[in-house]
Amino acid sequence: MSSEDCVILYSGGTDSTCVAALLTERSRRLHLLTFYEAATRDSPLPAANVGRLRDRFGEDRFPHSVLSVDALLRRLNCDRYACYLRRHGFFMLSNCGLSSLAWHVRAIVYCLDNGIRRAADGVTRELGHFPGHMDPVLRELKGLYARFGIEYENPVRDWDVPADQRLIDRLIVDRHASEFEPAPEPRSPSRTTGRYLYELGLLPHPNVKGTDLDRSMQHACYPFVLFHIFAFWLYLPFHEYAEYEARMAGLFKEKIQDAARWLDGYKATGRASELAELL
Amino acid sequence: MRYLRFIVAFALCVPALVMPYRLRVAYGQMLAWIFHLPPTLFGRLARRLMRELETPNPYGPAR
Repeated sequence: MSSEDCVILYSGGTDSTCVAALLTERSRRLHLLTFYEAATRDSPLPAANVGRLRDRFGEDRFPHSVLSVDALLRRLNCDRYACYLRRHGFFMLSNCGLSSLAWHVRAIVYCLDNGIRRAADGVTRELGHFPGHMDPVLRELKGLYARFGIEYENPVRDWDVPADQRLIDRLIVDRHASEFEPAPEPRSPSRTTGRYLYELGLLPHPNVKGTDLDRSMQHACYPFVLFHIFAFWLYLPFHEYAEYEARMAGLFKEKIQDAARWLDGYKATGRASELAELL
Repeated sequence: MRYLRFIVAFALCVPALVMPYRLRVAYGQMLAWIFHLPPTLFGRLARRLMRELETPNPYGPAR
Protein backbone atom coordinates (compact mmCIF):
# COMPACT_ATOMS: atom_id res chain seq x y z
CA MET A 1 0.00 0.00 0.00
CA SER A 2 1.40 3.39 -0.96
CA SER A 3 2.13 5.96 1.69
CA GLU A 4 0.30 8.38 -0.57
CA ASP A 5 -2.96 6.60 0.07
CA CYS A 6 -5.56 8.43 2.12
CA VAL A 7 -8.81 7.39 3.77
CA ILE A 8 -11.83 9.67 3.47
CA LEU A 9 -14.90 9.33 5.69
CA TYR A 10 -17.38 9.64 2.86
CA SER A 11 -21.13 10.23 3.00
CA GLY A 12 -21.30 11.23 -0.67
CA GLY A 13 -22.52 14.73 0.14
CA THR A 14 -21.04 17.94 -1.19
CA ASP A 15 -18.46 18.40 1.56
CA SER A 16 -16.91 14.92 1.61
CA THR A 17 -16.97 14.76 -2.21
CA CYS A 18 -15.15 18.09 -2.29
CA VAL A 19 -12.51 16.71 0.10
CA ALA A 20 -12.06 13.67 -2.15
CA ALA A 21 -11.60 15.91 -5.18
CA LEU A 22 -9.23 18.28 -3.34
CA LEU A 23 -6.98 15.51 -2.09
CA THR A 24 -6.43 14.09 -5.56
CA GLU A 25 -3.69 16.73 -5.77
CA ARG A 26 -1.76 15.01 -2.95
CA SER A 27 -2.84 11.37 -2.93
CA ARG A 28 -2.78 8.77 -5.65
CA ARG A 29 -5.51 6.60 -4.13
CA LEU A 30 -8.33 7.84 -1.95
CA HIS A 31 -10.17 5.14 -0.04
CA LEU A 32 -13.77 6.29 0.37
CA LEU A 33 -15.42 4.77 3.45
CA THR A 34 -19.19 4.99 3.87
CA PHE A 35 -20.68 3.77 7.14
CA TYR A 36 -24.12 2.56 8.09
CA GLU A 37 -25.92 1.51 11.24
CA ALA A 38 -29.35 0.04 12.00
CA ALA A 39 -31.08 3.41 11.67
CA THR A 40 -29.46 4.33 8.33
CA ARG A 41 -29.12 1.01 6.55
CA ASP A 42 -31.94 1.88 4.11
CA SER A 43 -30.46 5.24 3.16
CA PRO A 44 -29.18 5.54 -0.44
CA LEU A 45 -25.50 4.79 -0.99
CA PRO A 46 -23.40 7.50 -2.62
CA ALA A 47 -22.75 5.58 -5.81
CA ALA A 48 -23.51 8.55 -8.09
CA ASN A 49 -20.80 10.80 -6.68
CA VAL A 50 -18.28 7.97 -6.50
CA GLY A 51 -18.96 7.48 -10.23
CA ARG A 52 -18.54 11.22 -10.89
CA LEU A 53 -15.18 11.24 -9.07
CA ARG A 54 -13.96 8.19 -10.99
CA ASP A 55 -15.06 9.67 -14.31
CA ARG A 56 -13.28 12.93 -13.56
CA PHE A 57 -10.05 11.71 -11.94
CA GLY A 58 -9.57 8.07 -12.91
CA GLU A 59 -11.35 4.77 -12.41
CA ASP A 60 -8.77 3.23 -10.08
CA ARG A 61 -8.22 6.16 -7.73
CA PHE A 62 -11.31 5.81 -5.54
CA PRO A 63 -11.81 2.38 -3.96
CA HIS A 64 -15.15 2.60 -2.16
CA SER A 65 -16.12 0.49 0.86
CA VAL A 66 -19.46 0.41 2.66
CA LEU A 67 -18.93 -0.68 6.26
CA SER A 68 -21.31 -1.47 9.09
CA VAL A 69 -20.61 0.21 12.42
CA ASP A 70 -23.78 -1.13 14.03
CA ALA A 71 -22.18 -3.48 16.58
CA LEU A 72 -19.46 -0.98 17.36
CA LEU A 73 -21.97 1.82 17.85
CA ARG A 74 -24.08 -0.35 20.09
CA ARG A 75 -21.01 -1.06 22.20
CA LEU A 76 -20.10 2.64 22.34
CA ASN A 77 -23.64 3.38 23.51
CA CYS A 78 -24.01 0.58 26.02
CA ASP A 79 -20.54 0.12 27.50
CA ARG A 80 -20.75 0.93 31.24
CA TYR A 81 -24.03 2.67 30.48
CA ALA A 82 -25.18 3.18 34.07
CA CYS A 83 -21.85 4.74 34.98
CA TYR A 84 -21.93 7.07 31.97
CA LEU A 85 -25.59 7.92 32.56
CA ARG A 86 -24.88 8.94 36.12
CA ARG A 87 -22.07 11.28 35.05
CA HIS A 88 -23.45 12.65 31.78
CA GLY A 89 -27.23 12.34 32.04
CA PHE A 90 -29.12 13.46 28.94
CA PHE A 91 -25.87 13.94 27.04
CA MET A 92 -26.00 10.16 26.56
CA LEU A 93 -28.62 10.89 23.88
CA SER A 94 -25.86 12.33 21.66
CA ASN A 95 -26.13 9.38 19.33
CA CYS A 96 -24.92 11.40 16.34
CA GLY A 97 -21.59 12.03 18.06
CA LEU A 98 -21.30 8.36 19.01
CA SER A 99 -22.06 7.40 15.41
CA SER A 100 -19.28 9.62 14.14
CA LEU A 101 -16.91 8.24 16.79
CA ALA A 102 -17.77 4.73 15.55
CA TRP A 103 -16.86 5.82 11.99
CA HIS A 104 -13.51 7.13 13.18
CA VAL A 105 -12.73 3.93 15.08
CA ARG A 106 -13.65 1.88 12.00
CA ALA A 107 -11.59 4.19 9.78
CA ILE A 108 -8.54 3.75 12.04
CA VAL A 109 -8.97 -0.03 11.84
CA TYR A 110 -9.11 0.27 8.04
CA CYS A 111 -5.93 2.38 8.09
CA LEU A 112 -4.14 -0.14 10.34
CA ASP A 113 -5.24 -3.06 8.17
CA ASN A 114 -4.08 -1.36 4.98
CA GLY A 115 -1.01 0.55 6.17
CA ILE A 116 -2.54 3.97 5.45
CA ARG A 117 -1.18 6.99 7.36
CA ARG A 118 -3.61 9.73 6.39
CA ALA A 119 -7.32 10.27 6.90
CA ALA A 120 -9.66 13.18 6.20
CA ASP A 121 -13.32 14.12 6.31
CA GLY A 122 -15.64 16.92 5.19
CA VAL A 123 -16.41 18.56 8.53
CA THR A 124 -17.23 22.27 8.12
CA ARG A 125 -18.31 24.93 10.64
CA GLU A 126 -21.98 24.09 10.03
CA LEU A 127 -24.08 22.48 12.74
CA GLY A 128 -21.79 23.39 15.62
CA HIS A 129 -24.03 21.64 18.13
CA PHE A 130 -23.01 18.21 16.77
CA PRO A 131 -20.22 16.75 18.92
CA GLY A 132 -18.23 15.72 15.87
CA HIS A 133 -18.22 19.34 14.65
CA MET A 134 -16.80 20.82 17.87
CA ASP A 135 -13.17 21.95 18.01
CA PRO A 136 -12.39 20.23 21.37
CA VAL A 137 -13.80 16.92 20.09
CA LEU A 138 -11.91 17.24 16.81
CA ARG A 139 -8.69 17.83 18.78
CA GLU A 140 -9.31 14.62 20.73
CA LEU A 141 -9.99 12.74 17.50
CA LYS A 142 -6.76 14.05 15.97
CA GLY A 143 -4.97 12.72 19.06
CA LEU A 144 -6.68 9.35 18.65
CA TYR A 145 -5.50 9.06 15.05
CA ALA A 146 -2.01 10.29 15.98
CA ARG A 147 -1.73 7.55 18.63
CA PHE A 148 -1.79 5.06 15.74
CA GLY A 149 0.54 7.04 13.49
CA ILE A 150 -2.24 8.48 11.33
CA GLU A 151 -2.63 12.14 10.39
CA TYR A 152 -6.28 13.22 10.47
CA GLU A 153 -7.30 16.46 8.79
CA ASN A 154 -10.40 18.50 7.97
CA PRO A 155 -9.51 20.22 4.68
CA VAL A 156 -12.77 22.19 4.27
CA ARG A 157 -13.26 23.06 7.94
CA ASP A 158 -13.07 26.82 7.33
CA TRP A 159 -14.62 26.99 3.91
CA ASP A 160 -17.68 29.19 3.47
CA VAL A 161 -21.18 27.81 3.82
CA PRO A 162 -23.78 29.16 1.37
CA ALA A 163 -25.91 31.81 3.06
CA ASP A 164 -29.18 30.15 2.12
CA GLN A 165 -27.95 26.87 3.59
CA ARG A 166 -27.28 28.64 6.88
CA LEU A 167 -30.83 29.98 6.78
CA ILE A 168 -32.27 26.52 6.14
CA ASP A 169 -30.15 25.07 8.94
CA ARG A 170 -31.47 27.68 11.34
CA LEU A 171 -35.07 27.15 10.35
CA ILE A 172 -35.06 23.38 10.47
CA VAL A 173 -32.40 21.99 12.73
CA ASP A 174 -30.09 24.66 14.00
CA ARG A 175 -32.16 27.52 15.32
CA HIS A 176 -29.38 28.44 17.71
CA ALA A 177 -26.80 28.79 14.97
CA SER A 178 -26.40 32.51 15.53
CA GLU A 179 -25.59 31.90 19.19
CA PHE A 180 -22.75 29.52 18.42
CA GLU A 181 -19.26 30.45 17.44
CA PRO A 182 -19.35 33.06 14.67
CA ALA A 183 -18.78 31.72 11.20
CA PRO A 184 -15.54 33.02 9.71
CA GLU A 185 -15.87 36.01 7.43
CA PRO A 186 -16.06 34.87 3.82
CA ARG A 187 -12.63 35.17 2.26
CA SER A 188 -14.17 34.83 -1.14
CA PRO A 189 -17.84 34.47 -2.01
CA SER A 190 -16.96 31.49 -4.19
CA ARG A 191 -15.07 29.39 -1.61
CA THR A 192 -17.76 26.82 -0.95
CA THR A 193 -17.53 23.07 -1.41
CA GLY A 194 -20.48 23.14 -3.80
CA ARG A 195 -18.91 25.81 -6.01
CA TYR A 196 -15.61 23.91 -6.11
CA LEU A 197 -17.41 20.78 -7.37
CA TYR A 198 -19.48 22.84 -9.79
CA GLU A 199 -16.34 24.38 -11.29
CA LEU A 200 -14.84 20.91 -11.67
CA GLY A 201 -17.95 19.87 -13.57
CA LEU A 202 -18.98 17.37 -10.90
CA LEU A 203 -22.24 19.08 -9.90
CA PRO A 204 -24.86 20.85 -12.02
CA HIS A 205 -25.20 23.82 -9.66
CA PRO A 206 -22.96 25.54 -7.06
CA ASN A 207 -25.44 24.82 -4.27
CA VAL A 208 -27.42 21.59 -4.43
CA LYS A 209 -27.81 21.18 -0.67
CA GLY A 210 -31.37 20.33 0.27
CA THR A 211 -32.39 19.44 -3.29
CA ASP A 212 -33.69 16.13 -4.61
CA LEU A 213 -30.28 15.60 -6.18
CA ASP A 214 -28.58 16.07 -2.81
CA ARG A 215 -30.91 13.63 -1.10
CA SER A 216 -30.38 11.03 -3.80
CA MET A 217 -26.59 11.26 -3.75
CA GLN A 218 -25.92 11.45 -0.01
CA HIS A 219 -26.05 8.65 2.51
CA ALA A 220 -27.86 9.67 5.73
CA CYS A 221 -25.21 9.96 8.41
CA TYR A 222 -27.23 9.32 11.57
CA PRO A 223 -30.63 9.80 13.15
CA PHE A 224 -30.69 13.05 15.11
CA VAL A 225 -34.26 14.02 16.02
CA LEU A 226 -34.02 12.73 19.58
CA PHE A 227 -30.66 14.44 19.98
CA HIS A 228 -32.13 17.73 18.68
CA ILE A 229 -35.02 17.50 21.12
CA PHE A 230 -32.49 17.18 23.93
CA ALA A 231 -30.17 19.90 22.60
CA PHE A 232 -32.66 22.54 21.45
CA TRP A 233 -35.61 22.07 23.75
CA LEU A 234 -34.15 20.65 26.91
CA TYR A 235 -30.60 21.94 27.36
CA LEU A 236 -29.63 24.96 25.25
CA PRO A 237 -32.60 27.20 26.20
CA PHE A 238 -31.31 27.15 29.79
CA HIS A 239 -27.52 26.99 29.36
CA GLU A 240 -24.80 28.81 27.49
CA TYR A 241 -23.32 27.18 24.42
CA ALA A 242 -19.86 27.18 26.06
CA GLU A 243 -21.19 25.03 28.90
CA TYR A 244 -22.91 22.72 26.42
CA GLU A 245 -19.71 22.34 24.44
CA ALA A 246 -17.62 21.72 27.56
CA ARG A 247 -19.95 19.00 28.84
CA MET A 248 -20.15 17.38 25.42
CA ALA A 249 -16.37 17.48 25.08
CA GLY A 250 -16.10 15.85 28.52
CA LEU A 251 -18.32 12.95 27.47
CA PHE A 252 -16.50 12.43 24.20
CA LYS A 253 -13.07 12.65 25.80
CA GLU A 254 -14.03 9.64 27.92
CA LYS A 255 -15.56 7.77 24.98
CA ILE A 256 -12.48 8.45 22.85
CA GLN A 257 -10.29 7.08 25.67
CA ASP A 258 -12.41 3.91 25.66
CA ALA A 259 -12.01 3.67 21.89
CA ALA A 260 -8.25 4.16 22.20
CA ARG A 261 -8.02 1.16 24.56
CA TRP A 262 -10.02 -1.01 22.16
CA LEU A 263 -7.81 0.08 19.27
CA ASP A 264 -4.67 -0.64 21.31
CA GLY A 265 -6.00 -4.17 21.75
CA TYR A 266 -6.72 -4.45 18.05
CA LYS A 267 -3.25 -3.25 17.14
CA ALA A 268 -1.67 -5.73 19.57
CA THR A 269 -3.74 -8.83 18.86
CA GLY A 270 -5.59 -8.12 15.60
CA ARG A 271 -8.48 -10.43 14.85
CA ALA A 272 -8.25 -11.98 18.32
CA SER A 273 -9.08 -8.66 19.98
CA GLU A 274 -12.31 -7.57 21.58
CA LEU A 275 -12.76 -4.85 19.00
CA ALA A 276 -12.45 -7.28 16.08
CA GLU A 277 -15.64 -9.00 17.23
CA LEU A 278 -17.52 -5.73 16.70
CA LEU A 279 -16.36 -5.13 13.13
CA MET B 1 -42.89 28.63 25.63
CA ARG B 2 -39.42 27.34 26.47
CA TYR B 3 -40.74 25.79 29.67
CA LEU B 4 -43.47 24.00 27.73
CA ARG B 5 -40.87 22.72 25.28
CA PHE B 6 -38.69 21.66 28.20
CA ILE B 7 -41.52 19.60 29.67
CA VAL B 8 -42.27 17.95 26.30
CA ALA B 9 -38.57 17.28 25.72
CA PHE B 10 -38.16 15.85 29.21
CA ALA B 11 -41.15 13.55 28.67
CA LEU B 12 -39.71 12.35 25.35
CA CYS B 13 -36.07 12.03 26.44
CA VAL B 14 -36.38 10.28 29.81
CA PRO B 15 -37.95 7.10 28.36
CA ALA B 16 -35.22 7.01 25.69
CA LEU B 17 -32.52 7.03 28.37
CA VAL B 18 -33.86 3.91 30.04
CA MET B 19 -34.77 1.95 26.91
CA PRO B 20 -32.68 -0.95 25.64
CA TYR B 21 -30.48 0.17 22.75
CA ARG B 22 -32.49 -1.37 19.90
CA LEU B 23 -35.75 -0.01 21.25
CA ARG B 24 -34.17 3.43 21.58
CA VAL B 25 -33.13 3.33 17.93
CA ALA B 26 -36.69 2.41 16.90
CA TYR B 27 -38.12 5.09 19.21
CA GLY B 28 -35.86 7.72 17.59
CA GLN B 29 -36.99 6.61 14.13
CA MET B 30 -40.64 6.85 15.18
CA LEU B 31 -40.13 10.37 16.56
CA ALA B 32 -38.29 11.36 13.37
CA TRP B 33 -41.21 10.12 11.27
CA ILE B 34 -43.71 12.10 13.35
CA PHE B 35 -41.62 15.31 13.43
CA HIS B 36 -40.93 15.18 9.71
CA LEU B 37 -44.53 14.52 8.78
CA PRO B 38 -45.69 18.18 8.57
CA PRO B 39 -42.82 19.36 6.32
CA THR B 40 -43.10 16.19 4.25
CA LEU B 41 -46.82 16.74 3.68
CA PHE B 42 -46.25 20.43 2.99
CA GLY B 43 -43.57 19.51 0.44
CA ARG B 44 -45.96 17.15 -1.31
CA LEU B 45 -48.64 19.82 -1.40
CA ALA B 46 -46.15 22.39 -2.73
CA ARG B 47 -44.99 20.02 -5.47
CA ARG B 48 -48.55 19.31 -6.49
CA LEU B 49 -49.45 23.00 -6.58
CA MET B 50 -46.35 23.86 -8.60
CA ARG B 51 -47.07 21.05 -11.03
CA GLU B 52 -50.69 22.12 -11.49
CA LEU B 53 -49.68 25.78 -11.87
CA GLU B 54 -46.86 24.72 -14.23
CA THR B 55 -44.33 26.55 -12.05
CA PRO B 56 -40.73 25.29 -12.23
CA ASN B 57 -39.53 23.71 -9.00
CA PRO B 58 -36.23 25.44 -8.10
CA TYR B 59 -35.28 22.59 -5.76
CA GLY B 60 -36.27 19.74 -8.05
CA PRO B 61 -34.03 17.38 -9.99
CA ALA B 62 -33.85 19.68 -13.02
CA ARG B 63 -31.90 22.25 -11.05
